[in-house]
Amino acid sequence: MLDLDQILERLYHKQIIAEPVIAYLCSLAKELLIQESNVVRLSTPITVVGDIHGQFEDLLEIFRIGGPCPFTNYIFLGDYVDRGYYSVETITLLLCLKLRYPKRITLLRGNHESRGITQTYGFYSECLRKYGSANVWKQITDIFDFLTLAATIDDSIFCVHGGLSPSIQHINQIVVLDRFREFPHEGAMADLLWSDPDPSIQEFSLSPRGAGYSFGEVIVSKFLYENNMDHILRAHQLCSEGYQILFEKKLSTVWSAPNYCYRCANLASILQIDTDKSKFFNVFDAAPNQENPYVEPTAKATEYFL
Amino acid sequence: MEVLETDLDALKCRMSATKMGYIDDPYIQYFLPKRSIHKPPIINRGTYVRTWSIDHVLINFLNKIEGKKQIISLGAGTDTRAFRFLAKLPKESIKFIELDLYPNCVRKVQSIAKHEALHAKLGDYTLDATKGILLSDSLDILPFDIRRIPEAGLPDRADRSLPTIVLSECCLCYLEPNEANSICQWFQERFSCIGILVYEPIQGMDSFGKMMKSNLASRGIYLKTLESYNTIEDQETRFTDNGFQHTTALDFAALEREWIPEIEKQRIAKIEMLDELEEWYLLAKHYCLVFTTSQSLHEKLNL
Repeated sequence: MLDLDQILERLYHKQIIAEPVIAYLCSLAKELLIQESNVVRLSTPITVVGDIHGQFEDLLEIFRIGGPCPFTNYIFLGDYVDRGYYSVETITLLLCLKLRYPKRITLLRGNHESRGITQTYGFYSECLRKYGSANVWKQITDIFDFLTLAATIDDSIFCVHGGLSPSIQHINQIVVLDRFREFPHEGAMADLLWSDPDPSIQEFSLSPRGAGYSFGEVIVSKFLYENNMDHILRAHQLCSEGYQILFEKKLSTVWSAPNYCYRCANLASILQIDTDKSKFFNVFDAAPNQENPYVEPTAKATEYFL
Repeated sequence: MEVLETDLDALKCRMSATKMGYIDDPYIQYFLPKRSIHKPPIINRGTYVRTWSIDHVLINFLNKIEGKKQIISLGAGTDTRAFRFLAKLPKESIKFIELDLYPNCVRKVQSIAKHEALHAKLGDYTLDATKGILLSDSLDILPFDIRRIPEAGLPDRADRSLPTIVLSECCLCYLEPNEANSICQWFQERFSCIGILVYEPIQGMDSFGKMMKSNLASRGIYLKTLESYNTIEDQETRFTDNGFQHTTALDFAALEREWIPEIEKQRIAKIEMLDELEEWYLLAKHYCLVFTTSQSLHEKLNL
């Protein structure tokens, strides 16, 4: 029997966990996550975290700013892997925290929690580099199929990675989806993980991303009304100030990867919601280690056109 | 010298974009064989827009004007444009002159010597790989430090009477502003029918720009003209001050939106899905294309 606290201790120090241990963690995670509904019900106080994308130092910064798990309740809105250089450490730490404190941390699935996307955007090659084979990538991407799709906070805030779907008017329709699979490019599941709000439209429109939809204020208002909710919280879109509030405060985007890809020089935030439902976007900058050239050659590896 | 390394970086980007199908380049394999390079989708897209837009301006120039035309490429490195154009356009009507530092010229001429697919395009030619020199009717490769142009002029092979475009694809930006401008002015004063086509970074003052300068500085690469020519407007004024009559300048976000045909946009969108459009717009806004012409070239192009 492995000691989760010992594994966590190693993970907090950014140590790579051995492949057999990852396999074991994944098998435990599968049993735990399979029991979660497609829409998890949560309560305040809670801290909401957006995209992390393998920026492990910034994940540690989030725990410093927001408070360590389990003393702070967390919901992560997905996109744990790809783009940054520490996707393995990031997803392993979060899965381990979920196993250790299942009621204190919720992990939603993002559009990067996908076999196809991770082969293009870095997680696959990182696993190859760190483990010499694709086994860990396979085990972890299998677990992605078990991550839940959405959550509600105090029955009044709807949380999802991307946004809304023309196929989903009511939250109960999400509950009955079969989520335990690689999600296809089209359909309700893809929409929930790929869609974006667009202040220039009213209803649904094809997304410039090539997956999901753009949706406007009318759609947001209808959804909130149908489901008796007052706010939508999502991530998925880079925000230079760390967050963005739209549609007369009916929808917010939380973005938690500062200086995204070590290039965008953006701020990041986490959203702290108290028991009185007050919302505070705690904005932060890149963790100091990100700028340290002796730790990892992140500056030198950042790509431009020369 | 780290500036030499920038050619290898650009080569790898073009290799990746070619392999994925953004760009059609049968010649690049001769410069970086046996390497499977896959750059991130955002870089492939940027490389495609860069290549497409420069090709677009140059092909328009070559097609619209009668008779022989000249393209002088500063810091050309392993660029395969000459071969791609000579394969499709009438050889007699084009003269490419590529200038670069000696080590880059040697490498390029060696590759050309080795591969028939390359030298077959040239017609009659002579080359000396140890000197990095290639001379032919349609393409010359000459080791030359372009900073010497204002004081020493160009090698004799350049013909000032021909309609000419000088191409700086991320080359002048590594020089001091006064060096870069002296070069531009030199061309403007001595060539009657001249244009300069520049691709380089802009917007160095915002947070993305500062991060770019800092990241590149850690590799020993300094964008020296970026401080002086920060915005599109600065670039326009720059060439007016250098004596050019007509200047078009736009950033790559605008260029992609306004110049690239819809059918092409759809084609490349299908190759790889971009996961983050905001990131692409942010990156694209920090690069520009500037095309400036003398009055006579402007008229010939019926702009």
